[in-house]
Amino acid sequence: MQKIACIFSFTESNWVSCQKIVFNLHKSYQACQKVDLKNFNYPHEALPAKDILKLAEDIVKYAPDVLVVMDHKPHPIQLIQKLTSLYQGKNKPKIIFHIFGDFSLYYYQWGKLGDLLAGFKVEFLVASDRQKILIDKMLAKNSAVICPFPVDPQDFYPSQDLRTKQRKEWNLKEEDVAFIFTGRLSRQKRIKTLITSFASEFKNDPRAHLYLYGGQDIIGDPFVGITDLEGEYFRIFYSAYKALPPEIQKRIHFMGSVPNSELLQVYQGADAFMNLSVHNDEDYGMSVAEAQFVGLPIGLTNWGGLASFHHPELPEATAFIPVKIGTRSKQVSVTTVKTVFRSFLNNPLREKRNSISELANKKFNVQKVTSILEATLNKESSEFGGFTPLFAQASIANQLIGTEPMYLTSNHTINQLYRDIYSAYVRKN
Amino acid sequence: MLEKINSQYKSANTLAKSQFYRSSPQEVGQVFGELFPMGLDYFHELNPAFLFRLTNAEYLNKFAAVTVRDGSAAFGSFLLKNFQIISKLKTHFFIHPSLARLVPEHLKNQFSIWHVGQNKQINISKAKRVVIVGLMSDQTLSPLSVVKDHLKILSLAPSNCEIQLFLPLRRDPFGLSWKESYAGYEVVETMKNEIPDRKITFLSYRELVEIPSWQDTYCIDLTANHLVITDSFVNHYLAARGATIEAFSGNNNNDQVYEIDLSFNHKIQFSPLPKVESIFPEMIFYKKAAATRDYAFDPVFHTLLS
Repeated sequence: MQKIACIFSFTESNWVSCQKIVFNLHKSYQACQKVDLKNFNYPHEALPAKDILKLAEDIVKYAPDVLVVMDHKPHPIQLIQKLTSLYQGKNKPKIIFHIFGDFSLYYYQWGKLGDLLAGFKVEFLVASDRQKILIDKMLAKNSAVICPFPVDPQDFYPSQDLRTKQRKEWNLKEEDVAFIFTGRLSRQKRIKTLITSFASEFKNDPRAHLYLYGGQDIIGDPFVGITDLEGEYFRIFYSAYKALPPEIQKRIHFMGSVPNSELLQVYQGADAFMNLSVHNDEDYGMSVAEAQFVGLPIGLTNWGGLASFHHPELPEATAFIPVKIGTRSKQVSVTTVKTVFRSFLNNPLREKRNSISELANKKFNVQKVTSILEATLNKESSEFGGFTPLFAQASIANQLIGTEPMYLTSNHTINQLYRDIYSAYVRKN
Repeated sequence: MLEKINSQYKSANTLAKSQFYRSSPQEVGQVFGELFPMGLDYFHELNPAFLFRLTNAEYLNKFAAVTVRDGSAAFGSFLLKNFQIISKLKTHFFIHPSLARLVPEHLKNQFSIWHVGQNKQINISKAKRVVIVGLMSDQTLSPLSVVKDHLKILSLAPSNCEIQLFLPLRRDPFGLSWKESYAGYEVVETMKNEIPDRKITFLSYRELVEIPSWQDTYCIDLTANHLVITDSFVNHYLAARGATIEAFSGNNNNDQVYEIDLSFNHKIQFSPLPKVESIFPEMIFYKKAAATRDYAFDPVFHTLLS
């Protein structure tokens, strides 16, 4: 029996997808054989040093074989700092870090944490194969393990009844084809491209509808020097929408944010899921996974973790849109976006929804992740072997962010450091 | 007015992102700091900006129009300093209606007003959450008696609705010297009296912006006396994420000539300057009588504006 200390914040992250990820990861650990789990609250709010010390002491007292850092925040550095001093001269547990997309925002903290990990056996778990390529570029000796963020099939599954209900709510006819996007209406999610490509492809096709669920944000694309003011990206995509003929506007539906519990029914009503994200943190795609569990075919940018949602047994279930790192920005092939729209309009694979759902289940459900976790818990892990020179370079650039954008040359073009890191997110030709 | 709107809309030139915006005299740095986060920048094509963050009014000539966010103190001071330059500028100014009486007669053709409206607003009695926002300083708040009256509305909130407060303590932005203020404590005490036995939660700025949705929320803005600020970032931020902002009107402004959607939930509307008697002659008279380096910081000038 292995004793496992699960460390996460008992209050939920405000990042919706991360709430589900931590919850479902925990379920996967609970399903592991021969483990004794104990949860430790490492809250999002900054803790006073004495409380962090108390938490570290409680963990050490439990004498775990494995520490699992399960949440993306707070960054574990302060806790690990206390733990390393308490473990001096004692048997050290293995530490499993679940790495999220925001790894690239915290190079400095990871660097400092790396200094503390000497003598600890570690595992870095990442959610997708491209995230593994990125993280492996940063690890000098260790190699990341791919462990997708799980979906619970109790939460997302195909249902004809719910589909009928949702289509009625949307007032759609059987022959209408509904495309859906769920997530933040964000510059790096290329919402304007999604809207204008839809409008251009389907200007004379009244069967096609596009539903966008989610609220606006101000994330911009700071890595390539684009900062947005509040409302700025909204004005960009909304002006593009308002410039469309009224007949097309009627078929593009901005639905706002809805509670997670409503998404199951919303996905059922749709015929295909579209996601054009080129976000720097796109290590996975929780909404994509959930849509596949419902049985939707997916149109996706071939970028980062989104590339994981491919099933060789049913290749038509996923259509990839090429992305390249251009001189000044990440470029999505608009021609392919339109081709993907057209192909799903012609054939939304309605008869294959159960098959798509089954394939997604095989790859991403709680049970599958449990088996990966069991293997990781039982394997002979290596001690932490430090970070690479590329990591050090990224960390320095990250610390200089106040004086110069991290990934831009003086000519405001994307620099070599960005290409060295994010080539991991692009498909190699 | 429409010609200026179209020209500005097309260019979407943004003063808040330009090199002319940040270089400020020391006092402005202080004011800006004390207005955080209400004074944070936001965007629409008609160029929302604070005039007090400009050191030279002539820079405005690079912009066909500007939506003024200043309160009456900074706007009045701007007019007193620049009324001779303004007539030579090509810029059109959109101001909050409460500032209309400050505009000199001879400049009225260069000014119009803005309103912010919401298509759908909920009544406080239907709210699942009430959030009270405001900067806790004497200059920013209305007199306590007015705040007390304002907060009586809390008794209409459903008994199970969540009450959250975002009330950062600030110095008086236009105070010449630092002084202690009990405004924050007094406001919280007033609230406790109005809704005894109700749990209230304090939010930091970080916690405020980490909440992804503000649907079914009724927002009461206590920073509504318009001396310091007429256009708060926080109201736009919350409205864009679903909140009903008490200070925004419903969709009942009929004299607008132009409007811009700022989100799915709120819009800014532009209308001609209302016919009001200008107090600018009194302001000029005061300028002659009292030599002050910047009238925005002059408490007697503030009294004149109220």
